[in-house]
Amino acid sequence: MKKFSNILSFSLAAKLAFGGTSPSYDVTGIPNPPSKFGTKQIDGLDFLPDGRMVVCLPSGEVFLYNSKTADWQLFAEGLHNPLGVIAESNTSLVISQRPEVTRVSDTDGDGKADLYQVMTDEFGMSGNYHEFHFTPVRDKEGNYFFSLGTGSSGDGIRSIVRGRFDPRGRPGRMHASTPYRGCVMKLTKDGKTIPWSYGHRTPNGLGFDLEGNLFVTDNQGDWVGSSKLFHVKEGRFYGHAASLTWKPGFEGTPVETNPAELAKMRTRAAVVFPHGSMANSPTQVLAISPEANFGPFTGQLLVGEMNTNRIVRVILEEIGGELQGACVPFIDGGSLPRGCNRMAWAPDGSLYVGHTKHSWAGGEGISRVEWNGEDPFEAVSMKLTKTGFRFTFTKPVDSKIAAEVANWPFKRYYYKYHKSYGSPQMDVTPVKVDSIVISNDGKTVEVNLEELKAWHIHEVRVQNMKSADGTPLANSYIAYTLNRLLENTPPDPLHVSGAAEPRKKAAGKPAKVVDPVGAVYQVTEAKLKGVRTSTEHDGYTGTCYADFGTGKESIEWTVKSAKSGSGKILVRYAMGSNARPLKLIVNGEEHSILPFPETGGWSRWKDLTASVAFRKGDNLVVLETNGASGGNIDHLQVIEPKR
Amino acid sequence: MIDLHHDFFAHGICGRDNRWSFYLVDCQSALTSFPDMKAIISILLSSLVAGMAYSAPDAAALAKGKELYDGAGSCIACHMADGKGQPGSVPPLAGSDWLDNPDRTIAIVLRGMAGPVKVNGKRYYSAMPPQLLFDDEKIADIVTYVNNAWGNKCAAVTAAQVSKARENLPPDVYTPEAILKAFPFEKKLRRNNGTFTPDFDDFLADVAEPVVYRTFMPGASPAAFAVALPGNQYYCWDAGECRLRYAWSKGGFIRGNQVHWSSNGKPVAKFNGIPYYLARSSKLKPEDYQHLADTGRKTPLYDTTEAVDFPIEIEGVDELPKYRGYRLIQGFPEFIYKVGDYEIRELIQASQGNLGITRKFAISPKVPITFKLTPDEAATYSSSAGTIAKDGTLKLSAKQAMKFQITISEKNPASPVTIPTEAPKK
Repeated sequence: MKKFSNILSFSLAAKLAFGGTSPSYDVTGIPNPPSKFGTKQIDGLDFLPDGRMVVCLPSGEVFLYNSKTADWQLFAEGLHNPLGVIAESNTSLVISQRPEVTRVSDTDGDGKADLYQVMTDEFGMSGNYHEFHFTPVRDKEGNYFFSLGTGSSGDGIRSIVRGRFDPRGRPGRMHASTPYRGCVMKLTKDGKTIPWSYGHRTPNGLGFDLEGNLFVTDNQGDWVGSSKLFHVKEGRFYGHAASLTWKPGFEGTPVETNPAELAKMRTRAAVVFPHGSMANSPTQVLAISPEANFGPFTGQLLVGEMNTNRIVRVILEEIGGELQGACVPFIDGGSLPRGCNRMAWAPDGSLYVGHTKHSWAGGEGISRVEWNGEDPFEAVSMKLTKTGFRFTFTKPVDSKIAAEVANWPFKRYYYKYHKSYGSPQMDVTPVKVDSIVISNDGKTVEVNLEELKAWHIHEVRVQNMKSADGTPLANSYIAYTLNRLLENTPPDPLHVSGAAEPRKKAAGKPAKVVDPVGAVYQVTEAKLKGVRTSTEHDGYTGTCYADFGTGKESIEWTVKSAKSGSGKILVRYAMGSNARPLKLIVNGEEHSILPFPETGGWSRWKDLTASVAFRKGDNLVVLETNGASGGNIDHLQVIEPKR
Repeated sequence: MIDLHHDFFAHGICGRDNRWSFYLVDCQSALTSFPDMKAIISILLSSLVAGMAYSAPDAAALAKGKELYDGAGSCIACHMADGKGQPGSVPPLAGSDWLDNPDRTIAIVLRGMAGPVKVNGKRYYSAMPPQLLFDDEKIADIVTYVNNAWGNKCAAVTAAQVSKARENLPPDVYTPEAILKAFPFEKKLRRNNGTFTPDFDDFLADVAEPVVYRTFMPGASPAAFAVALPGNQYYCWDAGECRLRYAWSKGGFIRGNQVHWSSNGKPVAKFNGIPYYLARSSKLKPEDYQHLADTGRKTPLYDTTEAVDFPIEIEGVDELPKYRGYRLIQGFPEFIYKVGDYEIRELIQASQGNLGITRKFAISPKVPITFKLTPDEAATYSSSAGTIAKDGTLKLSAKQAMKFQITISEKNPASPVTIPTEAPKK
C-alpha cells in the first residue's frame, strides 16, 4: 500500500512538473452521440432550459442529451456544416450553418424538428470550402451576432455563387468575393442583417463578457501575424484585408492597397495569443459566469484552442479607452483532447467542451471539465501599472521565491502586419526587472520593469513559483498584450512590412541545389489531373509546386531510364501538419502508399524516397490521392538503375 | 481517352479469342490420332468452346439481337444506343472487359446482378434486372448482338448455351462477388474489373423515407439541397435561386457527401445518373455544364443576383425570390419562398408508379401566374390545372394557382429490380 501511494505521488508530481492540467480541475469524457455516420466531431454545443445538452455534428445531425439517463435523441438532420447553436427553448434552436442562420423547431411536439426557418441568409457564398459560418451568439436585447470566414486560396470558387460577386475581393491568400465574408454580422431582433465589423480572417468564435462586450477570435494567417482576440465594435476594421471589399466607402482592391493605409485603419487586438506557445487556432469565447462553478475566476474569459489540448484564460482591463490584457494557459493537457471548439456551462456549473477537427489538427468527442472545489494556485490576474505589472495570486506566494528577480524572466516582441502568412516574433528583447514588491497578505506581487514598451507583447515564464504552503504554480506562462500605457502612449508604429521591403519570390530560381545524380522532373513537366499549381509557400524549385485537393487527383510524370532494373525516385514535398499519404503507381502497377509525413511546415521541403523497378525507356510514375488530400509536391527526382 | 481505352480492349482482348480458336482447331485435328483421350478432351472442349471460340456471327441473329436491344428488351434505355452506358450508373457494353466470357454475360442477363461493380477501371452502381421475358433464342441473339456491336468482337452465343445456363445457374440475382466467383476474370483484367466496397452514401437508394441533405451540389448555387424520395427519385433544389434544379432516378442518391463534411468541406457531391429533368438556365451555355462541379474557379459563371430563371412569373413583381425555409411534412420538405408579397410553398414527391416527380404548389395570396417549365427531351409534363404549351408555359388563373400540381415524368424510367423467388422455368 505504501509503495502504491509513492507511485501515485510521483506521477502527480511529474504531471505538475510538466505543466499539466491544474489539479483542481477534472476532465472526463461524455459518450458520443449515435451519429448514423459514426462521426464524433462536435461542431456546436449548448444547453436547453430543461438542462439537456444539444450538439451539432459536421454530418448535419443535431442531438439532444439527457445526462441523467445518458440518453441521446436525434433532433434534426441534414444541415450544412452547422458550427454553432443557441438553445432558445426546449423545442427551438438557432443554428449557424453554411448557407444561413436557421431556426430549427419542433412544432408538433414529437421531439423531432419539423420546421427550418431562415433567420437570415443575407450574405454570400462563393462555394469555397473555407467560407465557414461560425457560432451565433445572442446579446441581452435579443440581437444575434454571427461571423463569416473568408475563402481560402487552397481552392477557388464555384461556377454559380450566391450573392453579388465582386472581383475586388477575389485576389489574395484568403478571399472575400461575395458579401460580408470576413465580417462579424449582426442580425437585429427585428430581422435586419448588418455587417457589424470588418477585417476578420477565420473568426471561429464569438462571445460576450459579463458587461456585454462582444469578442471574436481570429486564426494566424495572412494579415494575422499571430492568433488574436478582438473586442468587436460597430464599423471597425480588424486587419484582414479581404472583407474591405464590403466596407462602405472603401475603394480599390484590398490586397493591393498599401499596407500602411490598412494598418492605420485597423483596430489592434485586445489580446494576441503567441503562436506556438499560447494558441495556434483559438475558437469560442466564453465568460466565466457567476452561475459557473469554476473557481476564483468569475468574469474572466475562456478561449478554446483547436490545435492543442488547451483552454486559455483571458484577463482584460480598460487602458486608454480600449480593452487589452493577458492570456494564460488554463485547462491544459492531461485528459483534455485537442480541438476544443465549442464550450458551454452546464446547469451544474461545470464546463462542457465539444471537440472537432475537420481535417485540421484537432480532436473529437465531448469533455466535461469540473472544478473539484480546491483553490488552484494560479495567477488570478495580471494588470498594468505605471512601471510594470501587478500579479494577483489565488494564495499567498512563497515570498522568498517571488522576490527573486531571476524568477521573472520577461521578454517583449511584436508581430508584423503584412499580407504574408503569420509572422516571426520581431525585436525580441529581454526586459530587466527593476524591483519586486510583495503585498502584506502575500497575494499580490508588483513587478517593476526597466522599460514598458507600448504596442509590444510582454510575456514571462515565472520560474520556481510556489505558494506559501508549497503548492507549485499551476500555469506559469503568461503573455500581456501591451498596446497602451497608463499614460503617454506613443502613436501606433503600425508594424507594417511588405510595402518598403516587398517579399521576393524566387520564381524560376532553384531554392535548393538538387542532387546532380538524378534527373529532376518538375510538376510543370507532368500531366496534372485535378491537381493545381501554386506558389504560395516559399522554397520550391522550378516555377511552382503542385497542391493536391481532396478529390481523385494525380500527377503523372513520364520519366526516362537508360536501363531497366531497380532504381529510386525522390519526391520533394512539404507537409504542414499530420501526414497525407499518396498512392504511387509505376508503369500502371500500384507500387505502394507513400506516407508523406509532416515536414514541419508548408515551406519546409523534404525528399521521400522509394525504390522502383524501371523499364528501359519511358516510365510512367504517378502520385495519386488515396481517398483524401495530399501534400504539396515540388518535383520528382529519378535515380536510374546502376546496372 | 475513353475511346482509346475502348479501342484497346475491343481489339486487344477479343482479338485474343481469335488466336485461341485456332489453337482449338489444332487440338481437334490432333485428337483423331489419340482416340483414347478423345472422350476426356471433348468434355473439356465443350466447356471451353463456349467461352473461347470465335466464329463470325450469323447476320440474322445480329439483326434480331439489335431489334430486341433497341425495342422489346429496353436494353437501350440504360446502356444507350452507342453501348456506352451512363457514367457512374450503367456500365458500358461497348468495349467492356466484362464481355470476355459469354457464359458470364449469359448469367448476368438471365439472373441479373445487383451491387457495385468496376468495369474497365470505372465504378458503377446500378442494378441489372434479370431478363425474364425472353426465350433462349432471343437471349442468345441479344448477347450475340452485344458481343459484336460497336466494334466488339466477341463470341456468338447459341440458344443451346442459354438453355443449359438456364438449367444450371443458381436462381438468385447475382451479387458481384458471386458472379466473380463463378466466372472469374483472368489476372490481367482483374485490376480494372470486379467489385468494390462503397462508402455509406455511395449506394444510398431505395430509401423508405425522404433523405434531406444540404450540401454542395453540381449545377446549383452553394446553398443547395439534395433530396432522396421513396421510389428512387432524387432531386436538387437550389435555395440560392428558389427553384428545382434537376431530377434524376438512376444510379442511386448522391455520393461523397460524407467526405464533404468529414473533411474540410471542399468536395462537391456526385451522383451517378443523368438528370431526366434539367431546369432552364439561360445564364449557362451548353459548354458550361461540364464546369458545374468546379471548385477551383477564379470567377463564377454568374452570381445569384443575376439569376433570371425563376419559373413563376407574377405580373407586377420583378424582384428576386427569397428563400424562407422548409417544413417537413411526413419527412418531405415543403420549401417556402417569397416573391414580393406572395408566399409560395412547394412539396415534391415521387409521382404515381415512381415514374417521375410531382411538385405540389400553393401560392397565397391569390394571384394569376405564368409557370415556365423547361421542355426537355427526356421528360414529359402534366399539370393538375391549365394547359402546358409546347414551350413549357403554363398559365393559371388566380384560383387555379392557389393550389396546383405539376408532374414531370421520365420518358425512359428506371427499370424496377425484382428478385425472383424461385428459379424461372424454361
